[in-house]
Amino acid sequence: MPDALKPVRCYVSLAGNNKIADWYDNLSAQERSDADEFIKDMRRTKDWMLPHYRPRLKGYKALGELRWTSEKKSIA
Amino acid sequence: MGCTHKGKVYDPADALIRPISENLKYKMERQERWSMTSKLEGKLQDHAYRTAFVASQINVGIPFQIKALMKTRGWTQEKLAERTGMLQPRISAILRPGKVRLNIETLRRFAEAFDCGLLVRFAPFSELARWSDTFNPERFDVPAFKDDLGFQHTDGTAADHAARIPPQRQIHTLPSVTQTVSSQQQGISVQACGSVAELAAEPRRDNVVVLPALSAVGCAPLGAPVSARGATGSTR
Repeated sequence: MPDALKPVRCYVSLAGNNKIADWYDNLSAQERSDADEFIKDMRRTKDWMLPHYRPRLKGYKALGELRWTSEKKSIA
Repeated sequence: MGCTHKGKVYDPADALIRPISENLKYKMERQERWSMTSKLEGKLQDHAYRTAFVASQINVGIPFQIKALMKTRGWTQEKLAERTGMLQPRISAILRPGKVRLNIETLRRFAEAFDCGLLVRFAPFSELARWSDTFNPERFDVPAFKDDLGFQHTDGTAADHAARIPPQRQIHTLPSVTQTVSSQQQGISVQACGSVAELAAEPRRDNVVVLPALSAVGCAPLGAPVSARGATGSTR
């Protein structure tokens, strides 16, 4: 049985727009696969810190950006 | 025959036969299996994604493995750089998922630094998917050779003997075994044989046998009497 994963939620606007899902759908196969693998491994990682994670708002540790590289492009 | 609710099909057997707690547990397990396996299985139907998935396991998955091994050993990037003969900025880049395209030679250098093995082989996608599903960076650890339980024995003397015997002078297992020293749990059976004559008669095999104490199991020597250490030497 795989270990439990940290929940990852996508922000959905009141109108039902899911920008993250739209962004994901427009990625190439390699970028999608890299994103899946990176997010899966991060969801099992206890401490999120630089360079993989950077909080974006002071005082809100859980609100930040994940950073990885795919196809020679930095993604955050 | 199931019923449909909000687009989902429910099997009545799920709800009627199992008690509530068991039913909940079953549903949770099923949900877990679905989320981990079926989603990936669905994506792998696409050939382009399948191909990318293999590359992701190397370029994204391996940095997490290296980082986990550094953490368990308490190593800094500087120490790993020293051990691999690379520069620290290079290590820093390698640790960033997807940043560097890793090749086998680079991975071999990391394996050498961590004093562990490196498996590179072709495998079915189901196996790769299972590995990806179960990999946990927090729990991942590969012991160095000296801590490898697969080569350790309950009797320290036996391990010492094994280390001293050169590969071309290995002694082999015999069918007529009088004493088994180690447990099956360790994956290696260390056995003492009945006599040196049996050793001489047995054709050579690739596995290794260590003789911790021939005298303790009443070995009948071939020719002149031999001690435990002497027996090892006499069969070379």
